[in-house]
Amino acid sequence: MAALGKRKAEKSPTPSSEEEEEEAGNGNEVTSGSEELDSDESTDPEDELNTSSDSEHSSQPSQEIVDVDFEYFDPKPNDFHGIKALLRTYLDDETWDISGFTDLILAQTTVGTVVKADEDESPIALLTALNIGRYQKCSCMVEIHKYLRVKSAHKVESALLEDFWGKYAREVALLISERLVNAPLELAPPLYQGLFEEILWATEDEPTQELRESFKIKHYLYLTKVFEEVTEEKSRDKEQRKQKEESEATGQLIYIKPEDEILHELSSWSFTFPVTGDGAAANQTKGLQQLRLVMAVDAKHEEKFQAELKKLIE
Amino acid sequence: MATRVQFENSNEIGVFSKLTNAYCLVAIGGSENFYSTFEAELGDVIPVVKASIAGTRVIGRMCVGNKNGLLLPQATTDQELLHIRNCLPDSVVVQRVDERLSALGNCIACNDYVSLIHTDLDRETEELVADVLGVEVFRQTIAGNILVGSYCQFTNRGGLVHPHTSIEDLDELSSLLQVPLVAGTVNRGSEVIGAGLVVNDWTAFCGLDTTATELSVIESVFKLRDAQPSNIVNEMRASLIDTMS
Repeated sequence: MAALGKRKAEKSPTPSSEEEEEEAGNGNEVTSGSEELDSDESTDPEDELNTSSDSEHSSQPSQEIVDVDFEYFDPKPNDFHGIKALLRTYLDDETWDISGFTDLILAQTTVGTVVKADEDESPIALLTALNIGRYQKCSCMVEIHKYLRVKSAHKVESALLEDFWGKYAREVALLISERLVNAPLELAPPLYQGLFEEILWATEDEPTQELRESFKIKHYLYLTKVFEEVTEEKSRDKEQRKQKEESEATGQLIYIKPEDEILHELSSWSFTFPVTGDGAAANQTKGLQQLRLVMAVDAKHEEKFQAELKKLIE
Repeated sequence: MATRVQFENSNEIGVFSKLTNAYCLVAIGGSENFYSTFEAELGDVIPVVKASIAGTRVIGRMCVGNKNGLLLPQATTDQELLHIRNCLPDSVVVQRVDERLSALGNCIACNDYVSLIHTDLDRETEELVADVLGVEVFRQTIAGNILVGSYCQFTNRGGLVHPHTSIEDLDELSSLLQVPLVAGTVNRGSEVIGAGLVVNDWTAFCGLDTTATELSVIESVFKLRDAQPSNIVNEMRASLIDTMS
């Protein structure tokens, strides 16, 4: 399956963009842009050019429309470095076998998708699911388990997490969804549609019974990045009392990937923990604290999720 | 002997360290693993110095040096300069360079006798390189790239260059540098040799992702298999006997 579909997105930088706030919170340098699909009636290339010519009066540089085609591919060995780069902060600043983890993802050609601007370019987004029971013994999975166990210690969800790696391991898949910060939201629906389809096909097409069984997934375990608003008083309190881990979000959670919010609503259980890596301090000053969010989503919510996601785009 | 090592999940060893025949500089990192790997291999023979340059950890790309000297960018603070000067052997001249292209490690590649420099480097800097490092200086490109320090790594015994270097370029560079050269990769296909590998006459360090094939190429072109630090001692012995006779 080479390309599952092509999405044509017009990048037209406009002064006000909601994405900018989230991206500024990341401390990343991003060219602001709101993505609009070709099929939308509102955008007309000439109109864009007219409005942008107004901005020439201001000190901003003249703005162009950039057409980008995103294509969907199976993960290939050539994508090793690109995927590794996307997974660099998966376990925050922990030292672990990222190369081994990337190799696992590349080896699973039946399930997993990579989004690139062109076949020879670096990946922009990654979505795949690894069955925990199947890969449990790999050193990278052991390290992920250890990391999550440490971070969930003293939490209610700790026991539930242990079950996922223990007695339910064969029915749980680790959902891995990473993308560049400014990747358009429109990439998500085909990505997830592709994932669920590939998993369904794998239950029928895989050569051995064991492999077919391994794709009959009942739960997804998902680790993702989120932000939490930190008000001035809260940050002062934190300094005085030393940061304590919160099992429920006390502030408003800001989701970097919009579909994470839908998944969080549909999740059976979840917990958050603060990060200690480079990003943490930088974001603190902007009133946002970076957290990791771990959640378990029941597989039977697949269709509901896809419907909600579709609504979100429109 | 080539060793695989990692700096806080990064395989770009050459960014966080600088290795020569007389000393080794390493960046200050979160865990002691990086430093202790270098210490274990080199500790008895040459000083391994923890340093920062301009408050950054990317010291491998900011400075350039060999057994004769070390050049640091202008942004290096006085304390950092003093610390490095104190820890390095007295024979090594440490000098700050005022140069627009401040990432000296990316712009200059050298061994103890010859160096390649970025085509746009100032004349003053070129003279400083020749004086402080005691080398012959050549302005060159590697596979069309002007950042010679990033795309090659060579010692007195051999060198590794960007994989897309043509045969003609390889021959030309080899005759300039007077060492055998090989075009290859490091860290599982990475073309940025300078970032992925640090090497001196008897040992090399590269990222954890480096494949066995890449490692064997490195060991053969840099002649590391039979190399011993005692080679340097032997050189000294020869000159000692000279004076006696």
